[in-house]
Amino acid sequence: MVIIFRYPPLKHIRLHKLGYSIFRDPDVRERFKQDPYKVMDEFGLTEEEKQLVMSRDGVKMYDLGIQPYIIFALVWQAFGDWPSREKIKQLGYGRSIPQRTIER
Amino acid sequence: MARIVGGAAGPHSPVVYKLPWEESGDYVAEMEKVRGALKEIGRRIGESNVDTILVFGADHVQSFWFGCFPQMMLFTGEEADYSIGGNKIMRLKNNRELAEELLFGLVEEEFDVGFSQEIDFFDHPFTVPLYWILQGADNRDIKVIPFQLNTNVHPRVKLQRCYKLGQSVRRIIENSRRNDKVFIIGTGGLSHYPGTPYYGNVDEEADMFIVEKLREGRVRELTDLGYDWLDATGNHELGSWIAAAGAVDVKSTEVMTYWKAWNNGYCVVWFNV
Ligand SMILES: [Fe+2]
Repeated sequence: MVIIFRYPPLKHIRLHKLGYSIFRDPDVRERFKQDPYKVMDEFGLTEEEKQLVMSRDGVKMYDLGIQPYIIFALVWQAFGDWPSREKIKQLGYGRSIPQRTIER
Repeated sequence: MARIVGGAAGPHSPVVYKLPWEESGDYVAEMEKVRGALKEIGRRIGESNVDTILVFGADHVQSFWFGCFPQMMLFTGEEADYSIGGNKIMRLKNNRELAEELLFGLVEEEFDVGFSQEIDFFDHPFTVPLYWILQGADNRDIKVIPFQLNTNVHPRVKLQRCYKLGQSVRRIIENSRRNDKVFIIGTGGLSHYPGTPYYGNVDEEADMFIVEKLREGRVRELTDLGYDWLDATGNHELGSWIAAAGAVDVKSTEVMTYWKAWNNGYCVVWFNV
């Protein structure tokens, strides 16, 4: 069985904080849109995390343990638009759901 | 004597407030039914002169940060802002006195609930259903007690515990000397996988299993479900519903609407006392 809404891995706390701040703070959001690398440096992201944010790959983020609600902020609010439907398909959304049994 | 006069549960997705992207005419029409069911809850609340709504909902890492993330938390300030996606929609008064009574009573009953006297805002898990329900009630003077119940960031409050919490809330309200007429709402669900690669699936079979149990008033049988099953079926937010059902001491449930959309099993229920 699978836990989907997992405990946030401590090693990504800087990345989580960036997403949280982009959601809450219009100033961070605006500054991110203008110069994402500067803001990511302020939050202390690693090079890999920076690449991950710029890829807007929510599936990869999820697989690395990023909290699903933070992913919304990172792929959508950070850039001001949703990725296109083609991009969403390419990224691998719509993954088959985990096994479960229904006992009546 | 204060008392709980009824309860209900329904979705809180921001999509229910406003569609963020274009959808088919059918989708729009079905969504109107979901909103209509929430408004109908409000209409009934208005008729029964409810003065306070207690809302069980889960913060989605919007009000709280991992610097301090509460499993259970009662708002005990005077009033709070309610937003959707961080945009302020309304400001609602709390029933502070009753919230404080609940806080002290719950800790006495060994639920170690945190409190907040000041918060920046509550977001869509509270705002979205309240927006439509209050519109239906045609009465913005109803006070709202928001109750954070963590069902969305692991490790989470188990369903057994949610149910018992609801029962304690009921006991405390029934033993209160206040005169409040309280309505209970649980928000979230049903099957959906927001922010994950599983998005776009809806486990309708699991939803029907839950809905049938609720319909028959067999809520306790749902409390054995663990978070592996709940996550696998996209029903991670069921705890808020269970807490509300426990508080209402539900005998049976009226399913006001169920719609399997491509991205969510939208369900609105009314708990029969
Ligand atoms: Fe939710």
